[in-house]
Amino acid sequence: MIDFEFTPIMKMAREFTHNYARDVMRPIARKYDEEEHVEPTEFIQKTHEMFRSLGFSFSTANASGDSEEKSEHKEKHDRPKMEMNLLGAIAIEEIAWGCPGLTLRIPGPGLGGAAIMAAGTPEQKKRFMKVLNGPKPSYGAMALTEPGFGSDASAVATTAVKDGDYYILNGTKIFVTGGDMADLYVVWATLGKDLGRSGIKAFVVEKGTPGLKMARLEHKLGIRASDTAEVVLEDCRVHKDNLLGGEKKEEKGFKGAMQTFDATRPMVAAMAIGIARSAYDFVYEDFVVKNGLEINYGRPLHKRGYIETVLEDMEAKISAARLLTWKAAWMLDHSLPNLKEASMAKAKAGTVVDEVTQKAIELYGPEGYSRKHLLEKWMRDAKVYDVFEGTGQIQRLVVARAILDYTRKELK
Amino acid sequence: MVSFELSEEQALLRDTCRDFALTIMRKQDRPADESGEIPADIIKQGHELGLTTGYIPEAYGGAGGQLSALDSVIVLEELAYGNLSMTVNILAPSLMNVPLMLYGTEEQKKKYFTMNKPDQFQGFTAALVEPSVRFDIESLKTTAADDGDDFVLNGEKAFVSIADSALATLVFAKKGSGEGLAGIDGFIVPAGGFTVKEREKNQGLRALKQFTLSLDGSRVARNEVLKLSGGFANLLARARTASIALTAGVCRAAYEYALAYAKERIAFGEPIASRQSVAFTLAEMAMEIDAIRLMAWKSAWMLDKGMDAYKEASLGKRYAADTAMFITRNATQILGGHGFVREHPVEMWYRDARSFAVSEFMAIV
Ligand SMILES: Cc1cc2nc3c(=O)[nH]c(=O)nc-3n(C[C@H](O)[C@H](O)[C@H](O)COP(=O)(O)OP(=O)(O)OC[C@H]3O[C@@H](n4cnc5c(N)ncnc54)[C@H](O)[C@@H]3O)c2cc1C
Ligand SMILES: Cc1cc2nc3c(=O)[nH]c(=O)nc-3n(C[C@H](O)[C@H](O)[C@H](O)COP(=O)(O)OP(=O)(O)OC[C@H]3O[C@@H](n4cnc5c(N)ncnc54)[C@H](O)[C@@H]3O)c2cc1C
Repeated sequence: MIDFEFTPIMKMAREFTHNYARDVMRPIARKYDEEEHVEPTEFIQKTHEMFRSLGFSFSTANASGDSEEKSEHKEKHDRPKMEMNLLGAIAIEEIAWGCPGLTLRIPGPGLGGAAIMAAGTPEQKKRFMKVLNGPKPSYGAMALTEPGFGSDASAVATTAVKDGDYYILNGTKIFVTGGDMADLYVVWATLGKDLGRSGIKAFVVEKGTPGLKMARLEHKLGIRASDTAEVVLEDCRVHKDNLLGGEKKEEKGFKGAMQTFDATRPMVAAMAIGIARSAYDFVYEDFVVKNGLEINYGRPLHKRGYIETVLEDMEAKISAARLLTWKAAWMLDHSLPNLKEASMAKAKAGTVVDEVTQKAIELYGPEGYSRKHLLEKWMRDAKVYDVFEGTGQIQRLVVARAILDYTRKELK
Repeated sequence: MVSFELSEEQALLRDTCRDFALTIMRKQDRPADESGEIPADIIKQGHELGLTTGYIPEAYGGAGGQLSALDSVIVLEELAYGNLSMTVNILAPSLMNVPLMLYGTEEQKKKYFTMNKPDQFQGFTAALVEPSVRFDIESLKTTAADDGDDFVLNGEKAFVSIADSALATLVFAKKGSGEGLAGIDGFIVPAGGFTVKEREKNQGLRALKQFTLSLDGSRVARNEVLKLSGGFANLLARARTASIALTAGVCRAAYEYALAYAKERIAFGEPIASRQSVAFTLAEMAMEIDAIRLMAWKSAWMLDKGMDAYKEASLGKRYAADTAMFITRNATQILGGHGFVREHPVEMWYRDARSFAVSEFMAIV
């Protein structure tokens, strides 16, 4: 039965995260934007303890388990344990509303954890999640992108060569979110170019493994509170037990990477919506709350002002993106295939967040451009939401192939 | 508990309406558009689905079902996916019945509900829009003057669907003067109580008979007044929610047609769908249609919960109407020159879709 009513837990989580975003994140958002590469140590510790005490983690990793486990789970219970993806989307929208850069600094399984959950064996999930959900702040990074490719993940050039019980990894990974602080890195490497996609495997490389080196940090347009690192692997030896999905399941590797996105894209979309909303709320507060502008919804155009119309447009776009995002997250919670919907949500939110943050500055006038306010920061932060976890074009490619029922070859 | 799943009954309702849309409406949509006439048997068969009598209490000859906005938006999307003109015609009785259901007196319900027949279409409609450039609901010009036992209506109404054959028309007007939605009430005027003037000639919706009406001192007895007590905004929210769902339907029709065409049409040795500029446009259309549908659901859900959905419905309607132009324009574009000729229905959907931004009260949930 179609329903938009939040459960009490969802309501609580939303309120709690909103207050946290407002009281803890907003006051330090500017500082860590200006002081790029300075670790928000206190924030990390505090946030970690807070979420731990609540028994809640922002793991986009609660998400997709592997399919056997899902069907087993389905048989045992008719309904999923908890709607973790939807709950996560609701909460992370609020957190990103506080500061998107700091959001990516919050410890937890992160993107690496999501990959482990999507591609790992039950034993691996247990072993690594214990680390990522441990008592100390920890972080799981995803190292897929390389200097030579981003969108085309099948072009992985980092190599993995078998040597007894070990694999020897060599290559360079760039744009690794949290690459400076991660405890675990999920590194994607190829067993041999001739094997094509099926030769691409994910290895969990633990911090401190000889041959794993953080080479440098990027200087970015936005989300500056979150560090993005280049990671180099030089004859880095990784035990075969750390090959996600195990050695036998040949097909899991690349598919696993792609499945990660079913869970992470709705989360990234929800963050984008959080940013769009922060910009919207900021101008709404000024025009409507402080200066008494009335938004007369549904009034004919000739009787309304430009700003009124723009604010309504912004709200409608945010609402459209949010509904798509909730639906994609909800589908995953109910073990429904959501590849297309996850990409729709990400594509829409990635577009909307740029449009809304750009427009908000224009509405606010010269002051909107000033670093006195956070509006200009949000517009900078926004841009990457149409880039990482698959660019806007890649999302459209995924959707287009799904609706046309086309293969990669039929639609390049 | 958030859910995006239709109930079994809703899924059945959707399938029934979709089947009707594809097997009945679509077979006659183009001739109807060309001739300006909807075949009577389509209206009869559409009526027999029971969509406008289902919520009428059994005591008054209806099916005694719930008036559910969610069920209605599901129906509206499917029927509009078939044909917009036919949908508006078939569902026109609800334009009067829904307001009566919500605000009518027992006497009014008894009188008018019993005139609705499950097995025979009886026309009812509502008159809101007026023939003025940049029409504005907040300043209706039709007046209802208190004259003792009666109210005397003066003014003109436009784009009134099936006004020529309606047994009664719910005319929206104000007793007093002044702007705003608050003072608007409904006045039930029987056939013959006004002058039906010329038929409207529209860009789209060409199969739908719409008329200008002239109310020249029409007398409406006190007990025929539908007192809304400020409820007009709620009715408008219900009509706008309906509009969002209709938009999803028309857009989906255009999108699906363009998608199928793009897979078949070969240019430069490949199906045009294998070009990103075409494929991405289709992806964008699909995404927006999903968004529009979800907005209709959300707004309808709020109505069913008894919440104030005016804002949600109004901004959703505007968003949907804007987006509909993007979608139907591009559907036409994807057909190239063939989108411009009337052999294909996309140009009709493009014209039909233009109506959403400028119409009010086409249907109601
Ligand atoms: C701040 C930040 C954090 C990141 N974090 C991580 C991380 O933690 N882990 C990780 O592995 N990666 C991460 N990334 C990398 C990110 O996922 C890639 O940047 C992204 O996937 C795009 O790849 P690219 O930059 O190589 O662009 P390219 O793939 O070179 O694309 C360039 C342009 O071409 C377009 N394009 C490419 N292929 C097609 C196609 N087939 N059809 C149409 N258009 C196409 C793209 O859309 C884009 O506009 C991060 C990036 C940033 C900026
Ligand atoms: C009213 C009217 C008058 C006309 N007058 C004349 C005339 O006097 N003389 C004459 O010779 N012709 C005339 N035409 C034809 C007109 O030039 C063609 O309709 C037009 O060139 C498009 O070709 P098409 O209709 O076959 O579409 P298609 O070529 O089939 O294209 C269908 C769609 O695919 C897209 N597409 C095609 N190839 C690609 C590609 N490689 N990459 C991306 N997208 C692609 C197109 O942009 C279009 O959206 C007329 C057409 C009309 C409607």
